[in-house]
Amino acid sequence: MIEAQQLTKRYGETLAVDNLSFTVQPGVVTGFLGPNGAGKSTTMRLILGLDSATSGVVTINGTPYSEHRHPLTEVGALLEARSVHGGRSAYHHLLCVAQTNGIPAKRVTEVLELVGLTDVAKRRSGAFSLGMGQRLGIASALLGDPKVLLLDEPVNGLDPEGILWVRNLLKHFASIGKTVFVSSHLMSEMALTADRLIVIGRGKLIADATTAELIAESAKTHVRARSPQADDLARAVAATGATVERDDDGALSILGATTEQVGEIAAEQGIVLHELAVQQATLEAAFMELTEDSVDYHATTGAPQPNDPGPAWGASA
Amino acid sequence: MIDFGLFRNVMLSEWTKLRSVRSTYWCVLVSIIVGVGLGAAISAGSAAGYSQQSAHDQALFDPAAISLAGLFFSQLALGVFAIMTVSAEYSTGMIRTTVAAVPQRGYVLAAKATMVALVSFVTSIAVAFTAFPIGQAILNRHHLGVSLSDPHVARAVLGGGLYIGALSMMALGLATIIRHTAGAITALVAVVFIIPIVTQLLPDSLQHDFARFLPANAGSAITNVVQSSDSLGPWTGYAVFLGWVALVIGAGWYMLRTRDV
Repeated sequence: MIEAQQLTKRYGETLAVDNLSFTVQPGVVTGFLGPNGAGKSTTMRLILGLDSATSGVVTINGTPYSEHRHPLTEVGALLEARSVHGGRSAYHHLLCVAQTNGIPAKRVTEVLELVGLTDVAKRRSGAFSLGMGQRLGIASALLGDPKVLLLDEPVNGLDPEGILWVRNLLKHFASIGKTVFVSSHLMSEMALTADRLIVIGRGKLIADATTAELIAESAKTHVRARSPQADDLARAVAATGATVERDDDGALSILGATTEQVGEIAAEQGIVLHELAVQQATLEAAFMELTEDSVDYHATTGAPQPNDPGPAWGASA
Repeated sequence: MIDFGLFRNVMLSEWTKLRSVRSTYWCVLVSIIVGVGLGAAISAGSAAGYSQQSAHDQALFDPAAISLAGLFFSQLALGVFAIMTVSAEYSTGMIRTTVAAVPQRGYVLAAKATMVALVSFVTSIAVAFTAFPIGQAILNRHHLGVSLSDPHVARAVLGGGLYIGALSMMALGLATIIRHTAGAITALVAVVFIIPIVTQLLPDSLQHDFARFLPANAGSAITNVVQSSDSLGPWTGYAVFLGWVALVIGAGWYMLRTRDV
């Protein structure tokens, strides 16, 4: 279990993490979402004691990270991609990390096998692809068979097979009662992997809920209707109190009415319908809506649209 | 309370780190080649020029120090080695992995300093005990050589290892403070090469009161058999030098503990 209480981190003038409180429970995968510069990586660094908090505390299983004598057996962390000396082989990298916590060399061989790097274990890690580097980072996180896993953008640079592997790995660890906290900017990936989501923007907590709740509450599931008499339909539907907007292709986007209601209105008024469908909200849309006010760098062509992620959330935070 | 189990684990880890990167082997190799090779060359040059020297210079002629003169350059290679053990962790991001594995950051610095000092000490002792007989053989052709059994000579040869072992710890401390390879090497070169040269330009009185207490001047006194009046005694000088090393390491320790990585 990870517990953050009023966690604040200030770098000079910048408030990177602002009075953040949350709890990450064992047994489920908890996703950590936020636009670039929201403070995800900083929060992860505060949890691991790499940076010291300006104020507030964060504990892992009740104890601050730096007070654990064998921290690797408590918390396995995948840090930002570049946390490895490229001149050292994968084997020796893992060995020197293992030795600090008294973990036997045999475990190094095991985790190399587990992440599929056995064949390249003697190669210098600087020559690894992004995906292999991520696998090495995950191997390092698993060394101490920790109770808590903390992963910063674990699927970054992985191929589809690798992404599936990470997803199943995270779900497996959660299912055997471990605490899994994983940051990502890939909404679709989080929708598939995470049971709970913690969303932050500009260092502040925006949402802390289950993935299903978050989608249901914030992104509006709407009805799409296409008709040659669109104007008549819009007027008739709006008269019932629903909100109607016109999409670029001329279709109506209706909020606050069901397909049944719209269909019945059309029948009463004798309006021809060419299309009537529910547009399911996505986590992506929910996320965009939640964080709209807290994106640091909007695309220059205007604010990001729900279906247009835009350059504002590129590679990683 | 010192946690010896943790210290042992971190020492093992640091040893694995040292032996698994190429730069360690390169720096040690260069320090041996330069130390022995230049020691022989300088011995040959000094022996040839001895007869033209003034009586004053001949009185200060130190055959042991001359045969060990290559160590003056070995120390730079071993200093770079010491710097890299810290600065490469910062440039690659490895420091985050290290500190996450050992949140007790003081132990990381202590283990690194111990390992680096040991490797530098053993390497420079090997250089000294190789360069000394070669240099004396060259000097002996002009009947200028000394033997290890002569007064103070064994201490001077051993002193080369002691001085460079401690100097590596200072280099490591500088790297911990500065966190960049180039910056730390510049600081080391300033301490070892530039400051001693600049202070030689000072008036004699200042040299006596001030310059001999500076790190390189104080520390290298232990490698001299013939003592100049402007330098401290060998063990006094070494003690002063260890004080400097402790100061730099202490500053590095404070910064490593308090700074974000």
